[in-house]
Amino acid sequence: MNRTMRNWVRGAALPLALLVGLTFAAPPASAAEVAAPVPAPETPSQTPVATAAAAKVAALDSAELAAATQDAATEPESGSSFFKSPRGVIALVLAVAGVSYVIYSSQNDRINSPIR
Amino acid sequence: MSCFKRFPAVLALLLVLAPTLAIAQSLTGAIQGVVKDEQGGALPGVNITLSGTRGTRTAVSDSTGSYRFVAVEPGTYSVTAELAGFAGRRSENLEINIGQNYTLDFSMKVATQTEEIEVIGEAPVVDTTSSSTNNQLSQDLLFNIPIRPSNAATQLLDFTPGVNWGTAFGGDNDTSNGLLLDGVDTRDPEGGSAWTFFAYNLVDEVQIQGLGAPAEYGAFTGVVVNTITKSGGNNYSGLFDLYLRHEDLVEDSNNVTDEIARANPALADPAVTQEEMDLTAQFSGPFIKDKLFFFVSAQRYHLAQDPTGPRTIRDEVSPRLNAKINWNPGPNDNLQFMFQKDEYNVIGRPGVTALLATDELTNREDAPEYVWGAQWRHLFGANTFLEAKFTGWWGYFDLNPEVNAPGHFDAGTGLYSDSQGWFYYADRERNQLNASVSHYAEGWGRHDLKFGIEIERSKVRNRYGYVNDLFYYDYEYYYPKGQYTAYDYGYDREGRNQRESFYLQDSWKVTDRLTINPGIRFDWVRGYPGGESATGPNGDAKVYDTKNLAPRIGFAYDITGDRKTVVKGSYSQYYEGAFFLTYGAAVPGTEDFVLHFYDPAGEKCGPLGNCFTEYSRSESEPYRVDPDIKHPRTDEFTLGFERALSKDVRLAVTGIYRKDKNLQGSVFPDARWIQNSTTSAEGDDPSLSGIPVTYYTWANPDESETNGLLTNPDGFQYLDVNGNVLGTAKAYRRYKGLMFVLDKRMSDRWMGRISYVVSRTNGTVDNSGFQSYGAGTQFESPSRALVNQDGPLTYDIQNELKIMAHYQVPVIEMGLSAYFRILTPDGFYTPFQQFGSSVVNNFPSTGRRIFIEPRGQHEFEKLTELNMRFEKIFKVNDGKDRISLYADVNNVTNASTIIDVQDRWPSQAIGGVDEPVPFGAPGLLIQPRRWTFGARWQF
Repeated sequence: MNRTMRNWVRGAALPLALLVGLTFAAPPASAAEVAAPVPAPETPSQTPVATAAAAKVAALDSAELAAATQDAATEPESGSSFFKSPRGVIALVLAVAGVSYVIYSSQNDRINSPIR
Repeated sequence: MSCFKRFPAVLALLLVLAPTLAIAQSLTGAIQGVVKDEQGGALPGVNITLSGTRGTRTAVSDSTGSYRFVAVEPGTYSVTAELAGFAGRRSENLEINIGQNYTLDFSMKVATQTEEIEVIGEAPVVDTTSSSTNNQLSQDLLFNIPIRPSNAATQLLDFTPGVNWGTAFGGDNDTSNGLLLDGVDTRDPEGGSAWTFFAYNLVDEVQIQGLGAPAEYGAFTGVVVNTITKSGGNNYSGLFDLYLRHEDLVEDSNNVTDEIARANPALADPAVTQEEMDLTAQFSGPFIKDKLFFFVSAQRYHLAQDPTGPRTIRDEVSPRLNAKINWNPGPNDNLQFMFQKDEYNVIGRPGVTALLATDELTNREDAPEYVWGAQWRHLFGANTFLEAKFTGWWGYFDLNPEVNAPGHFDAGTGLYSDSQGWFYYADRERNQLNASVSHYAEGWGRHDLKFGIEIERSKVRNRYGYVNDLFYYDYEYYYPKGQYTAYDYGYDREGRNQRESFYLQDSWKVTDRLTINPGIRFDWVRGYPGGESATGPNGDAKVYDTKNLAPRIGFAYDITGDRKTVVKGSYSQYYEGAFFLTYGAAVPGTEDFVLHFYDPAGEKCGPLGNCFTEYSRSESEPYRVDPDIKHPRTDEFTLGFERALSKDVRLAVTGIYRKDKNLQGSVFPDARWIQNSTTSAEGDDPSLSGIPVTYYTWANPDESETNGLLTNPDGFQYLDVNGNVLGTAKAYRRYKGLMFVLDKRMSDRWMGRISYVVSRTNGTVDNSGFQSYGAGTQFESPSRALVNQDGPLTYDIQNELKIMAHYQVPVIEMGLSAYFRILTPDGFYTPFQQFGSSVVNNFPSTGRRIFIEPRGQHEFEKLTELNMRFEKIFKVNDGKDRISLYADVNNVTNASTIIDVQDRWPSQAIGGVDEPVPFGAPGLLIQPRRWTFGARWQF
């Protein structure tokens, strides 16, 4: 075994040992998780349609379906209320100041090449 | 040519398949799953709601209980499943990354008394359906870890596993990586280095693709850095960030030890930073809720330094403005328009080797740029969508000498004086259109199909010359300054790159556990002379033409069936992008190299009245391009294992083998050579003194120097004056690596990543940048092609350990973060001896640098670096606003690691140093310990 090979093996040995250790240690670590039920390894076409669910779905009307699709997101702040709030005013002032300063810098810090 | 013959068949295949094809995920991800009841029966009709920053999308599970959301933009989402009669379920904090396809199944229970929606957890940390290995830098990492590059976000790739100093998995340093901005490559069409600089704070997420990358990614041989920039959403958001280092606050430490200062006195005067200030102001929000959004960013970066060595000034200012509009005109369409204006203004850029440069030997850089982009995404339903992206930029950089006078070089001392003496103007324009159709289909399993095209058009113009058309080559030991010789040279070359690429790929889910990722990509790369010289040396408009077919195949197998453990592997071919340097030497516009001798009666006179007469003229003829030239490519094999060790921890192990092929270079087919042997010069190191060295003298430059050929030099034979073979060129580069990555995403107040990569990079063509293309002159002379070339390359980082960690201390609300890395060794170097022009007969200086021992026998020392961030966080306004004060300390231990050495044997003259600096002396150190302070307000 030459020097290069020895270095290679030495370099890989510790991480490999760590890997094996972590792999076998993993099941206990993950066993405590509250995970969704593990699906059986089958394709969708093989999945039986829930009989009870089918009956429920058939009984649903469009209004119920629409009610089930409510927006779950947090309602965003409206523009008028945000810009009237102190944080909105400060943010707007800082943003305008930042853009203005960069435009000023673009005009004044520019090194103009004589050939352009 | 074989690729060309196969092209019609491939095109026909693509055309046949195109109408049924599929998905573009380069900017988006996807979520899909199956909804079942407690007994495992499929539940149709379940309303699935995807909620993100720009509103909601809904889907209804089909007759098999399946649902999917395609074209989901990166971000954090919640997904809710609801059906009357059943208890609703919700998965929150679902972080969608670029190109990732999350499977999220729901198991619903019959409703009880409670109406509340049950929260069932987050997205899996392991993608069991892709053969790619991705190591992205998430927004959490970018925001919290002290990995902020000094100037542009393009440098972020160095913080990912397997990438160091811009070299990815052994590839060409800084020139082989695709740099995608919102999905479209923006790098320099000259040779692939970064051109579009953008603010660190502009980045929303960085994905590093390149290990088992699908066919949609091409035109690179290193990795693809896919950077997604921030956009506006339904909530008003802002980031105001001040990042400041100033000598009046805390001076930088000095890490130059006495030993280093003795070895190289030029380093005894270390760099002093007077000010580094990075100001960012960003604001975004809705113009119209759910419809129209804006994002504005302004940044000004300023760095003022007294650099190491004789220079006293380096001043850099980069103002950058960005604006982005996102518009959802309807539920199935999304439009995006982006614009950036930026500048890169530098005073005190060294015009000669940095340690030789005084202030008068510098230049001023003027580099403005405009970037534009537009995107359109259209959903044709739940299964198909179209994505079109157009991005372009225009810019130039001019390097004008600080002192507008001819430059001087003294052959006796090796020092320059008066002025850098030259100017350089680089003009660029690049436009690229990417369009793709993505389609989800079923049949013999499930398919995520994608068909796409890319069209690139880019222009390059490079101008170089000497002030007053003279550069003085003095020898003051014998002749008065400016009264020995002078030479003249210059060029004005233009080129146009054209590339069309077509690709087809599938993510074929054969079973719930097995996914196959086949793909094929075709790149047609062409090069034309540009501007007035719109014809090549043979009267052809086109001087470079390659057609490249790159297959990809990969697999991912879910070993345990619980989406926690996957084995994946891939075979891929990646062809390099379209670069002017692959054919630039074949474009007219280069002037003859003319050598003048001092002659008071001569006709060519300098500003001091010293006149010259032409002595010799080296004719400049455009090189020919080998009609069978092949485009550079990388072949890659990967085999990986990933496992979710918990719901937030991912372990990935990947073996990588890469071989760079079709490396290009220039040769002189008619040249004849005389083999000689000598011994190396005497010096301080006895092991390098007087050792035998073979070199070759060019026997017939007059007959052969105007017949240069750009080709793939592997296998090229060098002949002696009798036509006998002296040796055969070998051009290759090889990388072998094993990569371990342990990721912990943000939960329980902490996050982190540990990675370790053990690798070897060997070859005969270095990976120090621009070496893979036709610009490389290494193979013009057997002295450099055949002598001591095989061995470890400059960026052969054999052991790499990187650790990132962030912890939010409770109660006191402090953020503690660290980035630590060890590179050992930090690459290799090789002693070369500069042979005289008369010895090897009229070769340019780089061709006279002959290795005196095999490549890579000398290691750079181990690099150890620790950066830390301390951040005090104030959460106000019910946590909606985060105000913080932070301090970054880089190089905490003030290590004085040497990252460059003087590699010329036996010594090298250095500016401001009386005696030449010996071989092996330090040339550059990592930056010393330095404190940077910041304040930011984010909401």
